[in-house]
Amino acid sequence: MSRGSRRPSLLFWLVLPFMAFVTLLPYAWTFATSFKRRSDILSTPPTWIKDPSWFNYESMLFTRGFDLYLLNSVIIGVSSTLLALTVGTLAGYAFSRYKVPAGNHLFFYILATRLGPPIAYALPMYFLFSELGLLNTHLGVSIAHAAFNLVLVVWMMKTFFDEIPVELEEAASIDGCTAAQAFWRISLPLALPGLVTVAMFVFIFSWNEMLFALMLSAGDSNTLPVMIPSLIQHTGTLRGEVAAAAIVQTIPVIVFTFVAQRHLLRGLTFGAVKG
Amino acid sequence: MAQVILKDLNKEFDGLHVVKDFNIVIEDKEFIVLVGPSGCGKTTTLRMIAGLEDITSGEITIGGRVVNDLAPKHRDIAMVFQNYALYPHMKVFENIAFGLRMRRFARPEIKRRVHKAAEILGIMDLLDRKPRQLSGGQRQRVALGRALVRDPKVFLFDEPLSNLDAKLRVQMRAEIKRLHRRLEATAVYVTHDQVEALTLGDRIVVMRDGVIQQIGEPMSVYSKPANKFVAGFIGSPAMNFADLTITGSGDSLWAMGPGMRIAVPAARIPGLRPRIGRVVTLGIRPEHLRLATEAATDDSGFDAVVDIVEPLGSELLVEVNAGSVAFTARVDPKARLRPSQPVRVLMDSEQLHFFDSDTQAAL
Repeated sequence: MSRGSRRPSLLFWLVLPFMAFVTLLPYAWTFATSFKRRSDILSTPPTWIKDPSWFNYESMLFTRGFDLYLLNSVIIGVSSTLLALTVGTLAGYAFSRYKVPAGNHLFFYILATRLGPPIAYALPMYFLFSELGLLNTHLGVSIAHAAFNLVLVVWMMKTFFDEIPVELEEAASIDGCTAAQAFWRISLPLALPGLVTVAMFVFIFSWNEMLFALMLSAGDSNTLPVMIPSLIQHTGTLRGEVAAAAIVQTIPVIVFTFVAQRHLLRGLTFGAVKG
Repeated sequence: MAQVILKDLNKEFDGLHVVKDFNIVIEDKEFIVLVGPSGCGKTTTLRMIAGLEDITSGEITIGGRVVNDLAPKHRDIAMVFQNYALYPHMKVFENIAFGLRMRRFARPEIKRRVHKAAEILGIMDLLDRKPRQLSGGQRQRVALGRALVRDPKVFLFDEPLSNLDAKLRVQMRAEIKRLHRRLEATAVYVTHDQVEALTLGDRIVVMRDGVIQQIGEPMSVYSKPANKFVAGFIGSPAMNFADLTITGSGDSLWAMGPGMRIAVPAARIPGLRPRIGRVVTLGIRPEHLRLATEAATDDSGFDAVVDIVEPLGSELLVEVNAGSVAFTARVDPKARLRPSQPVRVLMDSEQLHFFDSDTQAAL
């Protein structure tokens, strides 16, 4: 289905620049602020960058110790993504291919983790993790993020696997594969576009997540989003550092979105039209 | 290569009995075609042989070994699927080589075998392509290549030609037949197309509602159908049927109906005599009818009116109406026939079939 030939309407040209302006201006302002000297940030009248400097980034990363939090964010983001993808992909595959006892109920039930407010799960999780000695560890936050993301992975991966004809696996089983080999060599590679899409969603969720990270970690295991508010101090707000941290925080999201845009679109519309 | 024995094979799905007491001995190197309308259990039977479907009861033996509980990969079979089931992310070479790789063949041997199979099938120049870059016919060849590269004991075909257009289907049909002769392998082929069944099979198995109706060589199934279902299913256009009452006495019997009075041939009289006064189904194939335009008095004929004339080039299909029955005749293309024209339909009395109108079994 091609809608490319349709010319955008007048409404499109009126609304889009307005939306882009509203969305991008704060970001552009934050970006500019992150390169300003402290004296320029609140100057009247406001100015764009007069004399760009990396001072805010250096201060944030090295003086305020955010290099550690950045590393924590990466570790927790990657490990929770791997965990959620491994468990969720296998579960999604099982829901797609096998008769799971009470399958439909179970499939719906895992949605429950997303139906309530996150805080309702965060408190019990806190006590649970405290008993298990998982508080203030990378593993604890990773598990929490993975658990919260699992439903997305299971639901999306199931639909991707549903689109792969079962005959391919049957052909593989006749060609000499065990069920596991057929999954690994045939179905998983074919579900890869979907997997990449889901991985991005899951990673970005973990990367931006604040509530669980705040409750379950402290000090050395804190992530970047949790620590940004710490730059608002009783002696004043370190606006330059806040802006720098915010920009750093958005980099992976932007890179992922642009680099994987085509993948993302393909993944989201996967199966809409049979290829 | 191997003999395949299916013994008392049964399959039930959620209480639905889809294959019932299936028994057959498929000889080594034999080409068996399972044919029947959709839902007759032919594909399920094939999938049970492949090991893709569990058996409810019964026994499957391949090459002297009971394979009931063996995984598909241990049965030494190859299968060609209706939708080809080529691996989309692999090139043609990898598709064909996959089964050999899984069985840990040496690299040079894989290459040799893949090239040999590709040569047989004429797809050497496609080996570097992905399946999506191939036409339907080419995909079908790759699917065949994937099956024959392994040199399995038994080839299983699940309606392999039904996704191809008519012309290609005829071409691939001949190719499969040639291939089978060359490979000398046991083959089980499933189709709903009776022409494929007749042309390919050494023997054909006609199925209906999970039950075998008849097993036999194509021509014997065609000329001596075991029941009315087989008679109607095999052959195109289908056999003509009419419900007639047997009457008569002494040396001659007649099959009577509205506007019809057909002499029962002498050879069939002893068999039909007990049915005097009862209704039987008479069947005759379109090619065993002749249409006479001038008045003829023949015992094995009846008067009718031409309804539709369909020229097929090499022959003419003529649908005629006689009372409430419609018959199709296959006649000489030079015959000059027009709709509404009265004709005398003559039957080749040697080729009459009679079926019990209750059990539908051949009499």
